[in-house]
Amino acid sequence: MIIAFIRTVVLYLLIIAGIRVMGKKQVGELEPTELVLAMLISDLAAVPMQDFGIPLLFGVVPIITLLCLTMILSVLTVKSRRLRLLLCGRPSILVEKGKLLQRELTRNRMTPEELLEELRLQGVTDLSLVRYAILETSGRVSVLLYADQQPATARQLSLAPEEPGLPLTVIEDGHVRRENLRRRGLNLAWLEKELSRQGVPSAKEVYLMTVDENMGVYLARKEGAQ
Amino acid sequence: MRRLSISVAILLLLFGAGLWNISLLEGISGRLASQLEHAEALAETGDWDRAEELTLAAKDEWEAAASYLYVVLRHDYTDEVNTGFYEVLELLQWQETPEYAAANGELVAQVQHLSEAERLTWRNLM
Repeated sequence: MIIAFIRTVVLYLLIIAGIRVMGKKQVGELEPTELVLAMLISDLAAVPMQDFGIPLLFGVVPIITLLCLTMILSVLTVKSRRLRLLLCGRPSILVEKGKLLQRELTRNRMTPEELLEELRLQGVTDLSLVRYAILETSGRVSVLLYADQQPATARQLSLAPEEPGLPLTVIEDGHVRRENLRRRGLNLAWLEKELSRQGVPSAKEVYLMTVDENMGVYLARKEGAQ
Repeated sequence: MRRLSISVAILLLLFGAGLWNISLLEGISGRLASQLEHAEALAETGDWDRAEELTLAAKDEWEAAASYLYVVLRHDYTDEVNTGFYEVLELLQWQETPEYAAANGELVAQVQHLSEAERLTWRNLM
């Protein structure tokens, strides 16, 4: 048991160090500690599940150990900037004022083609429009365009569009969600009236109905319903 | 902070339970090995009845601890010891010294291996 415990601690820290050395590109959307946890935990659970000769404890002890280590590291990284930099790294600026920072690209083992691909995924095809492109610690690239290349907002255009707020589902697959009706300050009488206004005889014929904060209604009838 | 303390406490608890488990296993395997070795010494002097009695007592102790051992040890280790006990008891019936001594020696080694495999040593960690 104690051998399993110590081996888990050693391997966990070793794999985190390995992931950090591999660089941000390999991390994907998870932090290194989360990625290592996801990698290890499923394998640990599978072994005693498949092999009845291995005690359940041999899977349980490493899993609890990993969860505790991840929890400890996540709390400590919030408290300590130094540890956060050590475990998660720091964001890297890959493009600054339209200029490729080749040293940073090389340091992060990223090719210009890979960067262009990331930019295209965000709808940017011209590098000269990019004020900053930053490789985040999560492995994703954030792109900040020059101000004159950014889409104009309603405020910049001095417009005051209505704020619809969050639409709440009031009917889902024929079932009325009474709690959402109440949250919008509505009742079944209002619902029946609204359904008859839209020509729907019963809530059972509705696939989805939502109501936003401005009482805007979206209604989709079930396929095949009249 | 609460989550940190709970996580640290669980890790310490697991480490402590691991150490306690080692001492428990060493106690069980030490007692069983000495009983089996004593039984072998008696058999060598021709006192087969006492040897059988001691081996049966060791088997009883083993069975009392078996349910715990199945939780904390690989089942092939515990199965080997189970089989070893049956073999040694069978050979005690036949009173065949060389075969009994060989089987008993193997059983003692298997029993000692139970705690050796859990001992906190560099070799085990690696």
